[in-house]
Amino acid sequence: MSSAFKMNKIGIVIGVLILLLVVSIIFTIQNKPFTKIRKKAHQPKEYTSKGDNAKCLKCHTVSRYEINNPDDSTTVLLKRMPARCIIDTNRYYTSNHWDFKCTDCHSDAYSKVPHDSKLKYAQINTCLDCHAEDAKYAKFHFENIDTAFRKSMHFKNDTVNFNCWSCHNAHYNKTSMRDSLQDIKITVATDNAMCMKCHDTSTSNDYYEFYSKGKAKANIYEKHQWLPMLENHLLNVRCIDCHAAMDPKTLVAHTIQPKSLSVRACADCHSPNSILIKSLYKNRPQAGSRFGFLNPQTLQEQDIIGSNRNYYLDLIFLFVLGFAGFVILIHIIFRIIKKA
Amino acid sequence: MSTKRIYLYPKWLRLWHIINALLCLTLIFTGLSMQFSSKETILLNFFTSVRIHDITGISLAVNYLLFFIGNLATANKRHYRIPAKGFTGNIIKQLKYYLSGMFKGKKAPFPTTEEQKFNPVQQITYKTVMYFMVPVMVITGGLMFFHSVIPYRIYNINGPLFVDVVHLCGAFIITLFLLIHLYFATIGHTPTAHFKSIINGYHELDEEEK
Ligand code: HEC
Ligand code: HEC
Ligand code: HEC
Ligand code: HEC
Ligand code: HEC
Ligand code: HEC
Ligand code: HEC
Repeated sequence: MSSAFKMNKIGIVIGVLILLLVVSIIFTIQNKPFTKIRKKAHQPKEYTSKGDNAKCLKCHTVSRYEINNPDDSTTVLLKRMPARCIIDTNRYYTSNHWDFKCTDCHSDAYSKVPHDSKLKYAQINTCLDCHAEDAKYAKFHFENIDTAFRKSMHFKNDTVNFNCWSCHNAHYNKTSMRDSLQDIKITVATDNAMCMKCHDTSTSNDYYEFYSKGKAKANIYEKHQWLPMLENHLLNVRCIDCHAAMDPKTLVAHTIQPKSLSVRACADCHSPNSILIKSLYKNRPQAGSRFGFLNPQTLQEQDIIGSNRNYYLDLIFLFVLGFAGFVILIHIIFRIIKKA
Repeated sequence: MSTKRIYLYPKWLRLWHIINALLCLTLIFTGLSMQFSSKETILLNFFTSVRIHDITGISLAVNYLLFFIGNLATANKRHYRIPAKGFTGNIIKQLKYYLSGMFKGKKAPFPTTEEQKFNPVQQITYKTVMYFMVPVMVITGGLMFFHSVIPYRIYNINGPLFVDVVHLCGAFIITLFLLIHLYFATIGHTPTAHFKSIINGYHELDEEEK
């Protein structure tokens, strides 16, 4: 009894030890980056716009708004607000344009209700109207982004309607990737949602069709079936990481290329010099290796086979295999000499 | 000279063994191709490696069931039963034989019999590999195949990374085992004797063993 029992116990102990070793290696490299240090937000933001906006938001936050009954001044009519016109104030007041009055972008004439239907077609300022040639926003390189955008498939296909607002949500636009402490999966989700507004999995979508001029819409999932674990990939990489030509001057690549030029080779990402380091992770501190793991900055939240191999582990494996080979060689030599 | 032969490896076992061997080699090769993936790779490209690795991995898991059930159902399991007494001592005896005894022309301390085809060293390694390492590989491999079932965090640890590294260490141990296994297979009464017997099922007894 005892001996067999002991052997099994030794096996279990060795197994547990190996497991512990693995855990501790990973734990060491993981633990530090997980505790992120963020500066305390300074003063709570002082809003100057909320008073004015309340006039618009009393209607634009509810699904049924009240409007004076033109036939009977003692009653009000309850009408339905189209879902597309309902504003999420939480997101609005935390966006990049957090302290904007509605009328900074929309015509003052909107204060009249019901709105004049011609207002719909009023031109709204583009990003560059406000942001161009402004030293305060120099780090964003708006001019370069504009040039890049003009080379994209979208702009080439529809120079009239397709503009920055087509992707950047007018009311909730918020930079994500620039925040190097942001969870990478949140950045991916935020950025992909911008594309999915048009390129969703349906075969028909109002947004898309407005720009495509009747051209049939492709189902995104069908077109990417060649990519295994599609859902997992789309939670971990951005559409633009494969579809946009990288531009060294800007943080976010804006030139959507023709589909024939999109990234298709797995090794573009699944290799030590992964393109993700220069795209998705461009704003993260570059790190060659940490405890032997290549591209460790991706390890906090992702595990990319081929890109995250461990140098020391490889070395240990090679050494042990080499040693075993050496012992075997000696053994062979002895066998030949002794003719055993 | 008439050699005595004993029938040691039933058909199902040989079938399992050869399939297992081929699948293992494929898995090691495609696994290496993924681990050392790069754009100018001399190994298989990543896409093909993933596809083949998936298919062979699933096949190996199914094949493992054949082994597991076969061992449950037939008498073959007796070879894996570790004796109650003196096992550690026996292992040392066997190791001594490999390291010096065999060169001095001594007899193998645990000759192959119908009752026990494995010597103690084989017993302990085969048992560990087949009942611990392979299940670990099948489980971690399965987890990676159904990627979304891996918790995103296991406590403070990146779940997929953890599974990945365990799978990698397991793959290494099995590769090491395979190397040694192949070499030990040449220590028969002729270097090719064991290879022949795992194909035709019969073990030829050495002069001394008779
Ligand atoms: C009494 C309720 C009410 C108030 C107050 C109101 N709106 Fe509206 N607004 C609406 C309704 C209803 C629609 C949808 C009209 C439609 O579907 O044609 C709308 C539509 C809009 C649209 C979209 C027009 C389009 O169809 O593209 C804009 C922009 C807009 N409102 C801006 C404003 C601004 C800016 C204010 C404040 C200065 C404001 N609204 C105040 C009820 C209101
Ligand atoms: C930074 C500029 C900006 C500000 C500030 C702004 N909007 Fe807009 N808004 C736009 C743009 C651009 C569009 C057109 C978006 C599109 O075509 O998808 C738009 C569209 C709308 C629409 C129509 C939505 C649709 O899908 O048709 C409504 C309603 C609206 N805005 C209401 C408001 C209200 C209410 C406020 C204030 C709380 C506000 N907007 C503040 C830029 C702005
Ligand atoms: C009506 C003028 C106007 C338009 C149009 C406009 N912006 Fe802005 N934007 C501003 C102002 C003013 C600020 C400063 C807000 C603040 O006080 O933080 C700002 C802030 C930003 C910031 C944050 C800057 C920082 O330092 O954090 C970004 C990013 C940005 N805008 C991007 C855009 C993009 C992209 C577009 C077009 C889709 C756009 N803006 C359109 C006026 C505008
Ligand atoms: C095809 C969709 C698309 C279009 C069109 C587009 N953008 Fe972007 N833009 C994005 C995405 C995706 C991001 C990444 C957002 C993030 O994670 O911060 C982004 C980010 C940005 C940023 C923040 C970059 C930084 O350094 O943090 C700016 C500024 C910007 N865009 C400006 C523009 C301007 C100006 C235009 C029009 C000339 C434009 N964008 C058109 C998709 C688009
Ligand atoms: C791993 C890289 C990769 C990612 C991530 C990716 N794509 Fe693609 N995509 C491609 C490739 C390669 C093609 C070309 C497929 C073909 O030619 O059949 C393509 C094709 C397309 C097409 C053209 C479909 C057609 O045939 O009309 C669209 C639109 C598209 N992708 C949008 C997206 C969007 C939106 C996302 C994000 C949700 C995304 N892609 C994510 C690589 C990628
Ligand atoms: C406002 C809607 C809209 C948004 C947002 C949008 N697209 Fe598109 N996209 C289109 C339309 C429409 C087409 C079809 C253009 C054509 O072929 O005429 C298209 C075409 C494409 C193509 C195919 C180009 C080709 O070769 O045919 C790709 C790739 C693509 N988009 C990627 C993206 C990515 C990546 C994003 C997000 C950063 C994005 N799109 C956001 C509307 C959109
Ligand atoms: C744009 C970059 C990119 C491309 C191109 C890409 N992948 Fe991935 N892939 C990733 C990332 C990032 C992950 C990590 C997911 C995670 O941590 O859960 C991943 C995960 C995987 C996984 C799950 C195992 C793992 O690494 O954790 C497989 C399998 C995989 N990819 C196969 C492929 C194949 C096959 C291709 C080529 C057809 C491909 N990938 C192309 C970025 C990419």
